[in-house]
Amino acid sequence: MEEILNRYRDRSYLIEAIHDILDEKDEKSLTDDEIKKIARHFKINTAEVLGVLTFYTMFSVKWKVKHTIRICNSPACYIKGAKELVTFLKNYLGCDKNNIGGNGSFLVEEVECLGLCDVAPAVMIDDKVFGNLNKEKLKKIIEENK
Amino acid sequence: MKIKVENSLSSPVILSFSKEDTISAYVSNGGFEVLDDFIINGKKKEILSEVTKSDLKGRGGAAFKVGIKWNAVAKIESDKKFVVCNADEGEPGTFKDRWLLENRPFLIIEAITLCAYAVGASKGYIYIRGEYKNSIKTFKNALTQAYEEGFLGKNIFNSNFNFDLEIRQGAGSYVCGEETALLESIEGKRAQPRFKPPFPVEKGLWGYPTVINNVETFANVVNIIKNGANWFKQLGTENSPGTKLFPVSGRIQEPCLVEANLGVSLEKLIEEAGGVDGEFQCALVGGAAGNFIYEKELNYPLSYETLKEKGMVLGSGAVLILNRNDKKEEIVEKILEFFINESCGKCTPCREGYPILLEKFNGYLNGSVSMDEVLKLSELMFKTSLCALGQSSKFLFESYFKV
Amino acid sequence: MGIKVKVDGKEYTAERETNLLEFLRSIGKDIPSLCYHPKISETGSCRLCLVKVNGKVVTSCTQKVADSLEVTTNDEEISILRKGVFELLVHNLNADCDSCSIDGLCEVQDLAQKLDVSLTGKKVDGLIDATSPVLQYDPNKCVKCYRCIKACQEIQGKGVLSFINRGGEVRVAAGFGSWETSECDGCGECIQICPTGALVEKSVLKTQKMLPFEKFRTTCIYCGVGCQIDVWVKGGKILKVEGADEIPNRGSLCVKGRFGFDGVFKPDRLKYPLIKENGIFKQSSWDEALNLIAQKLSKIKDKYGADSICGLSSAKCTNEENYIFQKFMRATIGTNNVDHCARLCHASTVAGLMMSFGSGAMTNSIDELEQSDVILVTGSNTTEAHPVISAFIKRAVIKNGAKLIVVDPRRIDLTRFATLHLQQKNGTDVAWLNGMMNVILNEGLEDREFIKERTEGFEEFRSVVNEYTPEKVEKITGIKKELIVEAARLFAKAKSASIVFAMGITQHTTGTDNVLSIANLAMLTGNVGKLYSGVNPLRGQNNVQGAGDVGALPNVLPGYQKVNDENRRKKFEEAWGVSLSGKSGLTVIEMMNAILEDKVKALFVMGENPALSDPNLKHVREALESVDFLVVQDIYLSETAEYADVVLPACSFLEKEGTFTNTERRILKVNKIFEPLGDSRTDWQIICDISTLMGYEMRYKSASEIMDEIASVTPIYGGFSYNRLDEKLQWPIWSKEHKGTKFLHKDGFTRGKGKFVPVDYINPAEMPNDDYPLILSTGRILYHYHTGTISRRSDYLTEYINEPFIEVHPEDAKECGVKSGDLVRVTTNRGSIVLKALVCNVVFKGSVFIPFHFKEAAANLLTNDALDPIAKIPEFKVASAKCRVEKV
Ligand SMILES: Cc1cc2nc3c(=O)[nH]c(=O)nc-3n(C[C@H](O)[C@H](O)[C@H](O)COP(=O)(O)O)c2cc1C
Ligand code: SF4
Ligand code: FES
Repeated sequence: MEEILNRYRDRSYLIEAIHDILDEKDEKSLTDDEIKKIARHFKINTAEVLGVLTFYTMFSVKWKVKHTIRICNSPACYIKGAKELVTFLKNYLGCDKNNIGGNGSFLVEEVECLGLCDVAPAVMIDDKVFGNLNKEKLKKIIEENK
Repeated sequence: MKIKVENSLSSPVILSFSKEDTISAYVSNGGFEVLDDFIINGKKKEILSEVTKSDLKGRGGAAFKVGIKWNAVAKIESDKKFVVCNADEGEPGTFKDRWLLENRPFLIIEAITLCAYAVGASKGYIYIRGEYKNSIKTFKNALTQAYEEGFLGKNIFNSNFNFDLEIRQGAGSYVCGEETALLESIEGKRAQPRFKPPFPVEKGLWGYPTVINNVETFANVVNIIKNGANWFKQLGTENSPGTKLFPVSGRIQEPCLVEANLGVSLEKLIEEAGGVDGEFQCALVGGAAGNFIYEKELNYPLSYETLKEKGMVLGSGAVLILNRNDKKEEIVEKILEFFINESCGKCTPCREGYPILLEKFNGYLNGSVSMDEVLKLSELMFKTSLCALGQSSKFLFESYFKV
Repeated sequence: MGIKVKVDGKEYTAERETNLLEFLRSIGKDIPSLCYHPKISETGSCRLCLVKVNGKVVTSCTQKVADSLEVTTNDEEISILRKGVFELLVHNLNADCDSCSIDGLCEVQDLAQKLDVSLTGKKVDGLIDATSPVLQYDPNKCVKCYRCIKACQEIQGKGVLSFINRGGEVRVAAGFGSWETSECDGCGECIQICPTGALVEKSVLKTQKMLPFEKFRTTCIYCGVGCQIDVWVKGGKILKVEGADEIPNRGSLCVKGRFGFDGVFKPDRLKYPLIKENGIFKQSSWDEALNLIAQKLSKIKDKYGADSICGLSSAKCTNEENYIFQKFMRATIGTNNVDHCARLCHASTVAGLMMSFGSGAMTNSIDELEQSDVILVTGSNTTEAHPVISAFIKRAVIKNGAKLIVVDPRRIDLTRFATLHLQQKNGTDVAWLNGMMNVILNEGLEDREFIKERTEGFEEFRSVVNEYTPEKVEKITGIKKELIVEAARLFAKAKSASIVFAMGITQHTTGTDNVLSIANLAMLTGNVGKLYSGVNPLRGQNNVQGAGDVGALPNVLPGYQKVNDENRRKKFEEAWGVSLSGKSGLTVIEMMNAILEDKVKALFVMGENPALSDPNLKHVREALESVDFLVVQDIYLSETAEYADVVLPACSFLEKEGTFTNTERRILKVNKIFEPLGDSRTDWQIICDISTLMGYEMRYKSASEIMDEIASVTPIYGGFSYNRLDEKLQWPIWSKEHKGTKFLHKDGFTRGKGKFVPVDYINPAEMPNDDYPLILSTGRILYHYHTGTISRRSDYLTEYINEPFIEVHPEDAKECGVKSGDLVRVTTNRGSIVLKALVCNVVFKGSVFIPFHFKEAAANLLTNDALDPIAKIPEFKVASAKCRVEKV
């Protein structure tokens, strides 16, 4: 973490730094201690870091999970059946009320348009994207990415 | 992704280049020639005048004239100036910039550098939405190559022109696409839009004059300069010259990206994309910030001014086709939810208005609220919101209630 | 140049670039707004201030007056829109005014009335944050106007607050989401600017309704800034305190000024005189106590002579009281043995600046700092000791782009704003100052014209400075030579440069030398006698400037007129009708020594606490113990009062009239807000009564009358009287017509020419050695004041910090095996105390820091009472100490 922070001096790199730190971590959220270190490094206060974390949806994961499944539920995917896929996915992974399933290793997030409308319905699992989905295909992808 | 060029288009502007896998492929196809020529010969004024003459309008949604922006920044004396490329593409149904980032990165780099040279900026940013991991990767790679070959960095083409271009990633926020919110985000802050004026050309990044343009806008620039404004003006319509990338999706046989002359009809676009999947009901044009277009308007020319005449917008150019089985009101609900989620929360009308608007719309659907009341609220938000996000539902509802 | 603007069909002239909303208000247009506030940058978020400019609906707060504007401030469309936006704003707001303490004082309530919108309470479940010791945030009443966030950032320079979440979920947060986890230090700027009941003082929540209440203006007592405060009173109690939007503080306060006055009225306040009999205090009547004192003092004077009596006046009391006290010592008793704790803080400043400039005070004004190009802060932890001044400095940096140079051994808060931080070894100030001046001279950056026209002694000075090459200075001070060079250039090239210093410079055996060096630097670069520059010693206590001005010093009469100057003395003899001693009296530490040498028999202490504030306490306490007769006048039974033979109950500043003179020489009013508590009396009344009993009549009807007498004998106050209070004048005020003096030495120095006094570097009296390897330094912290008599009685302040601690550098901590929170024993040659360790890199390796407010572990048991030979100020800032872990 120190190493990542030391790559960035200017406060404008706050978002880049958080991206990098989260990329390195198994769990996609920051501890209070990490927030404090980031704040100190950029000479800002913790609330400002928190403000940024809670503004951007990619950062505002509050729970510790290994994988984030971002399933698009915007109009293009929606009319192509995204809604049913979401229900299916949550059932399949046995998601709790925080949308965590697969024995705590997956977070299912319904997100806005991923720019994959040409292959709707689509999902993003961590960094990878998949399109033209149906239940069967989605199941297979999940299994492959466990 | 499937890409298509509308068949009436004699010379495509953007899709004409062959795929640029490597910088050498781009260069051997004539890439960076324009930049070379104009920098070596110190033709700043010529860049500005060609762009101005071409009457190119921004492709990010607001359709503001590019020449006016560039000239404004070029004119201001300032020890720092910036160029920013808006690659935050978050408009639902839009995927044109993604394609450009992943397939035409050098064209974009060349255009941004041209702009920087013309306006006197030595630092640029390209802000790519965080979800576009592939685009970020491809573009990073392209940047590295451009630096290695000396097209970026110090003393470009052995001139005394220095230019650095840096990628900044978004992190999940639609409003970041709004230009001043995007500036805030580049500064590492919460992406809450600033009031305007002052406009970014006057006070942009860290208060310095800044040009901000959309990816597709930049993608037009190299060809305009290479072939001249007159060539460009032959394309499209009189007031909307050039071509446009239309991402076509939804109930369509072959979802794809179509390059077509501005002024093309919806019917033509549907044809290019293999026809409607089912029976055509309407199209949502321009994404969430856009409007519905119906059967009777299928032949209407899609250009900035023609739509404006009818009180409509082209926006990002996204075309989402709905067939008779799709529920239009569900799309409206989705869009309102989208705005509720994506409102930055800064200004009162948008932050407080959207949830109430959704309530009222549901009320309208079950008969307890009048159409007028919905329209009145969306009109209030249109007139009083700080940025266009809060103003967007006006077009949606006006077009929704048309039928 | 004004331009024409058309508003509602009428033409007006306005300044280009002025804020349109401000302008429209200035011509009497009533325009609703919430997010706009003149003290912060425009936000444009509430969308209420709508008007039409050239036919287009815009928010007026984000517009500037420009050419050919045609403004419509109201029409049907505008009023529909305003009302519509307001309805949206309150839709989710818990506007349950009936159950709200600030009912009737709320901007939203006002607007609702104006826009004819009815408000209702709503149950929303935004969590209330009540974790701050002083305030509460209720998101259900928050209109998300940004004012608090911006006030914290732009006015105070702190940036503790932020919005979190987005859309309808946004709310204000501190720290990790709660105030207690944040860097908030409780200044309360956010509360003062909040338009609704979202941010309120906890004290306010205790009352159901604030209205009706009474509001009184007075001057804060918690430091030398002299903040103007409005005390809101209801039912005989303080509801809350607000910063008055005036010179010098412009509405800002620190946590002490806003929340610390509950400490004034605690049940253990002294309410009647006490006389010690057989070691036990007994309640007595005023008559008995005053007669006893008068008799005892008369007897001692008769038997041992006037010089066997000493008096300590008080930097916490008013000008009038200090004047009366020194007059009592000089005229009634007949001695110059009068001093006060300025001796312990800025005696060296007064001595040094007198030599260099001829006047010992801050040359420029507080608000000039905000406009300085370069500010050099040294030996002042401004954020903690003069919080409101630090906000001026921070604003200079963040708003005006000033460059800040901090020279301080500790990594103090201001270093976050500094371009350069030079971390010198404690006590090596003359060296780095000479080093900077060496560079300036070498590079020809000095102001030759200023030196030639306005100064003397330059050549001699130059030859001394020549020897202080950056290399040599690096060896002495530990500051990298490159940094010295950089600082020198930055400072010398500035259009205007201010120097700010405090006790880190003065409290040394070389204190006077340090001050002389600073004066040299200012003269060398021509930074005296002009705006936005100057030599600015920040005075510590509320009236330490005034106490000295009116003569509570052993060598000078009021107005710094030397006691051994016969002509001046004669003037006073005539005015007071007695003959006066021409022999300089004893200073604070000398008094203690003289007691132990049995040369002094009686000590009269008015509102001071040497048993905690003075160096080498063991020695001081022995003296207090052994003096024959000790009188202490105070508001609480202080550590010193416990040694007293007679204790007299005085009124607090809230119970009396008078004036304080703040650090920038500005005379400020102290107003009586409450009746004296119990039988307590004002300090001046008490002294007058004793004097009269002793045969020298002192009868004054009011503080104002005393001030008239001060003005008549003190030229620098000469033109002052109570009917000029509103002018908030800065001395010198030569005549009734004179408007006071914003900055000193404008056309000539007080002494004529400025004098370069060459100074050589000398080591501190005590250097670290094998037995005592650490350098100990002492000082103040934000939450407490002086010996804590009032601040440590405040329920609010003590919630922040209420126990002693020692800052230890991580490496030293490792060496001694100390962790944060461990109890450690700290020992010097003079004593030893046990307190908690705070391991941090605020201090540099090899040094430790202890705040001196805590009697449980009195830092001054450890400090050195070695004195500066000229100013007689003790070396609080350097002692060699050792520190080891204490097993408990
Ligand atoms: C809510 C909102 C979202 C926007 N999103 C984008 C976007 O994703 N990409 C973009 O280029 N412009 C977007 N814009 C438009 C920009 O504010 C701006 O007009 C554009 O970047 C200017 O570039 P152009 O003139 O080349 O179109 C958005 C505007 C708003 C109000
Ligand atoms: S309109 Fe919405 S997104 Fe834009 S500033 Fe206002 S709250 Fe933010
Ligand atoms: S006061 Fe102008 S928008 Fe709030």
